[in-house]
Amino acid sequence: MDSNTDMVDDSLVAQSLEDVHLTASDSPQERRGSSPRSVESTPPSTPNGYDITKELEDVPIDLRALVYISMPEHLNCPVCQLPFINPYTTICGHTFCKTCIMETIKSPLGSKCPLDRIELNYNDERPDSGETTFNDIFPAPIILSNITDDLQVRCLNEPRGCTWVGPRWQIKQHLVNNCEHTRFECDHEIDNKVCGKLTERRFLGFECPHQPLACDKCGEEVTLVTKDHHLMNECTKNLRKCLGCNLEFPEKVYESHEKYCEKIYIKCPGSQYGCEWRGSREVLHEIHTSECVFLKLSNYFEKQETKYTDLADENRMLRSQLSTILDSITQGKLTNLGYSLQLEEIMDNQSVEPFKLFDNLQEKDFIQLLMEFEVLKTDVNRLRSLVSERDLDKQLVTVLANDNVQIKDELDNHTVALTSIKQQIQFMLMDRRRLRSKFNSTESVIPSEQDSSSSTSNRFTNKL
Amino acid sequence: MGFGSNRILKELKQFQASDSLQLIPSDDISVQYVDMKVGNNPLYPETYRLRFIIEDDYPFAPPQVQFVGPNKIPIHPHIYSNGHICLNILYDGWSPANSLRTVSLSVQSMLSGNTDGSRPEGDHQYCKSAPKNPLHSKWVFDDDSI
Repeated sequence: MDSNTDMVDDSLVAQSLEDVHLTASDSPQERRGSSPRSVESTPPSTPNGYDITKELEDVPIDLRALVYISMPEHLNCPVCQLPFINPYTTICGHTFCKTCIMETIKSPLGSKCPLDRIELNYNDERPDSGETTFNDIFPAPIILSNITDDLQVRCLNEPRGCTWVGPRWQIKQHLVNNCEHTRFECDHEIDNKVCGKLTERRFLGFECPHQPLACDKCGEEVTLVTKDHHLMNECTKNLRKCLGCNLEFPEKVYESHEKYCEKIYIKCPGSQYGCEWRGSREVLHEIHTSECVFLKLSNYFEKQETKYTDLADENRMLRSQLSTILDSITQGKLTNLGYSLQLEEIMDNQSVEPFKLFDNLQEKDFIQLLMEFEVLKTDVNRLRSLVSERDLDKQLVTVLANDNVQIKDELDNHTVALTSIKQQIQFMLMDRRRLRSKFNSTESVIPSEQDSSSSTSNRFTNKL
Repeated sequence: MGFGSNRILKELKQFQASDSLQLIPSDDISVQYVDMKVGNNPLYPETYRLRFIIEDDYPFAPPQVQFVGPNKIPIHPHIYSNGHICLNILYDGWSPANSLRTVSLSVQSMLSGNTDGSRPEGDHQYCKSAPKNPLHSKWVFDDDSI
């Protein structure tokens, strides 16, 4: 564990105080002002956990040190590349942590968007309100803070053994009120002096956990805090029996013994690929290794697995690149930086010639298209006149047809009239004949020479 | 280094899935080396090594970026024979949204698009008087074509 000596504790206090300066709400000046920590002395890959050394209310938490369970790429600030903390959006639609964008404005880049370098207007601190107001930089929609605050994170005390996982907004409450691994200054008195050592919450009780005790096994002097560590790593009398060879070993060497004990039962190394064999290490080396099919294939399996993970990694990377590019396309901002820096550069450097060629080609095509268009236009005009002629013809035809119908009607009328006249004439002829025959009978004594003339006239009427 | 160190660790992971850019494992997080291959350009058949020195104010200030030995320094009209690179995003044009990877890609594309096999003008003179840190040189960016 990490609380054995005062020296360690002191350096941790110093570090934790510096961490306090790194919190999201603090001004960047303070960050710059803090003495630069040399990288070797505090490797960032092994954070030490969370200590509370001041008043409980005044315990900012370095949200940037949090370890996230999953980090959706889209929720990452382009500057710190971590999920947004107090996100602010620029007029050009990009979002950053508030501290990140404010720090950027103070950096050599100046008041430009780090992604597309659009000039951002903002007013410096107003003396009357003391508030910094920005016209082109404003708080992002609250839903974004809600989403990022809900991301699952691990406890800052994970290196000390805390297994808590929860939403980011709960981390402060967890660390301050609940986490058993948060360290406090021990306020018990030893020899009339306040102990003051940083102690994890789980050791704080009625008595000072730093009081010397005697180890149950070896009698060496330990404290409540160091007891676990002592038993596992130092004590020579804390024995554990090996299940394989039935010999007893101190805890601190047991693990290494377990690795080499010839009698202990172990699984076949090929078990991850499906071998169910179990037996002592001796038998494994002498017999099973030469028989096991899975073991023989394990080389191949491993190769496949690494290939597979490589491909999966590549896939993930490509997918994220693709989504970034798609994003910038949908936003119409393909020329901005971030990812598009590469795009821009590549275009500038590699595609100058092809682009020119493409332009020329387009021009040529355009002219050709224009000519074709003209030809088609004249064609259309010609056809249009033809069509209008045809229309005129059609009108004429309909007029003629109408006339035709009229004429036909008239003709019919005439025919009717004619037949009626014919009938009338016949009737009149009949009448006349009747009258003639009457006339003949009355003048039967007419001389014979008159007979011949009457017969000719008779013939004439018959003709009619 | 502020949150820079956290960010660098994240950035180093971005190199893993890349073939032409190979990150060289380094004990010191503030000094990183990247081996670069340039495909499709006969001017650059070899592997070149880029060195990044990351300062405390990263990512708000640019890292020091230059080519270093033991490999050769690529011949390019914007790369001096002491390894210094004339590229505006490494100096005035730096943006905190850039990363070690995007910078490497920019340099890579600068090489792959080049057809001019010469050093910059006044190369000898510059190398004699140049400061060790390329950030301390005064750069003038006038050529947008390369």
